[in-house]
Amino acid sequence: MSLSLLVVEDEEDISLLLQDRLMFLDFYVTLAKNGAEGLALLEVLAVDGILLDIQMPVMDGLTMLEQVRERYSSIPVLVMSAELNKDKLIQAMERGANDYILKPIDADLLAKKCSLIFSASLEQGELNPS
Amino acid sequence: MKRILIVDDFEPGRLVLREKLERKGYTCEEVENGSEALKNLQASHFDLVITDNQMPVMTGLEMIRSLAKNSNDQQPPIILLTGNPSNNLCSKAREAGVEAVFPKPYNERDLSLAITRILEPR
Repeated sequence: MSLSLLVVEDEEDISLLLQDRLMFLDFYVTLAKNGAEGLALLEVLAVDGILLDIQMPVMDGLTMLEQVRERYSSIPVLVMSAELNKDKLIQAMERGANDYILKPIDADLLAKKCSLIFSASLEQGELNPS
Repeated sequence: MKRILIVDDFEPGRLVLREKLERKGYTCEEVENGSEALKNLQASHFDLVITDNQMPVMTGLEMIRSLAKNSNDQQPPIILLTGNPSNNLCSKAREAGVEAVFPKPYNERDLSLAITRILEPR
């Protein structure tokens, strides 16, 4: 059964690459350009997981993560950022991110982490908090 | 090419549906409430209507009832999306001829299956 993911990333090149990769891995994928857009989409769409960039305009990943944890405590979140933002990644883990992946993103590692983090939520029956 | 009418006052809701449906090869039109939807449905043919319920001017259910009452010829199948999926609303929607009701936030997989079932019957 295909899981549905929200990818929140401001750089279009990266989000389109992620979309390709994840659809190839049999996920349904919805793209958002920043945290605010991501939150708006979550009102409409029930997703099984979120792939969240940290550094974005309008609303960054940390702020969105806080809101997601407040409103949808159980959705698994995988944050992504460059190594030089290590501090932000640590903050994201403290705010409830389930795991992180470093940019530039390694495709095999992405596949492994997505299947572990997002499929685990399926087994625990934590889908769709609504 | 199959044509779908999307009815929702919430812009991100319309956009995300449109993007997904167009990727599947459907043509989409968007309107913001039930009254605009009725005008569009009178003006041209649609193969499916996907409508939110809670909207200003005219709700989804009001639009569906008015459609059932006024159209002599066949009306398109309708999928209703709602933030408040009470039993009452669901049964009213069924009575008015709605094909499927989905709570919001909806699951893409479920909605997608329903659309395929309606538009591409085997």
